[in-house]
Amino acid sequence: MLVELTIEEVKEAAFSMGLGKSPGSDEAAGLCKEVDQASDELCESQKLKKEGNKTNLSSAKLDQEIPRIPYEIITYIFLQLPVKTLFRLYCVSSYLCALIDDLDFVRLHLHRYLHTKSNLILILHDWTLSTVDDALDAAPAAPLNHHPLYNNGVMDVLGSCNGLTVAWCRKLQI
Amino acid sequence: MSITTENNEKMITLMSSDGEEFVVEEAVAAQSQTIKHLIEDGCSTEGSIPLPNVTGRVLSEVIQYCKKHSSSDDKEEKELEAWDAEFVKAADDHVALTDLMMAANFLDIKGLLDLVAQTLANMITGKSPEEVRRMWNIKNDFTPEEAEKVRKENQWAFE
Repeated sequence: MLVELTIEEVKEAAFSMGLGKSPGSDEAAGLCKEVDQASDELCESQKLKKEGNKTNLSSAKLDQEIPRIPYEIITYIFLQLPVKTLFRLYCVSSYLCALIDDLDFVRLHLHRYLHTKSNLILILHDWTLSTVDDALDAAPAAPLNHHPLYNNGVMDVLGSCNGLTVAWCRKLQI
Repeated sequence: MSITTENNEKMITLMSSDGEEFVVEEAVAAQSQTIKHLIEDGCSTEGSIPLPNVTGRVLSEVIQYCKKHSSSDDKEEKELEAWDAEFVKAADDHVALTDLMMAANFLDIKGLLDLVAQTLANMITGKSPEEVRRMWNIKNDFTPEEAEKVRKENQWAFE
């Protein structure tokens, strides 16, 4: 059985890729430490997936100027923001929607997070997923008890990239 | 105009958009990559360097930042961080910070750009869409139906 993620979980994981820290993305996070380099292909496919789920607003009024503040300034500020805040800003205007949806912005944001934020590592041991901060001696592993495959049977992880993970599980036959 | 002080420090004159002149050491002015390139191209020898995008008020703040950062070395990192925090606190409101950020962008001073961007980002975090609109005077161009749909799709971000 494949993990059935909610749209929201995929959205956040797809955007945060590699962030691993944002709430709600634990379920979608990886077995191994997030890879260091951004994968363009993955970004592309995740972007498409995201667009498929969204209102098509990015036909974009990027040319519609926010009064006074140039586009590159807003972009620079938004690069510092956590993913959840960015999704809240979708509701501000179609201009910001288009800016946040811009593929170059997504790439830059991912790149920045991979190089500035500490990542969470997921460990699968005895079919229990646990999180550990990448500063290994900082804190003990915290078990995750509420991910979608919890209590579903034998679990394995097929692979992960930029914080997105494909996991599967099989019901135990008794 | 470029003059030399007793300490053999070369001085540069910068002129703001509103005609105010600032005489600063070359090492201070060269914190700005834009000015550094202008000096390298010999622009500073023919009088003051005009900065048409920066007002005198903002330029004096920028110079204050550059002075502090050109005189401190790596050992004083902690002290510099505390100074930076006070510096952005003094600018206080988002309008002044946005002006400062636009100047840092034009003058290409990466440290200042990062500092102000992070401060503005902290101000935005936790604000509602309505508050962000007010902050930057952004028009809500969604139709009621679009607004409802976008809000619904991103409801999780508000929880």
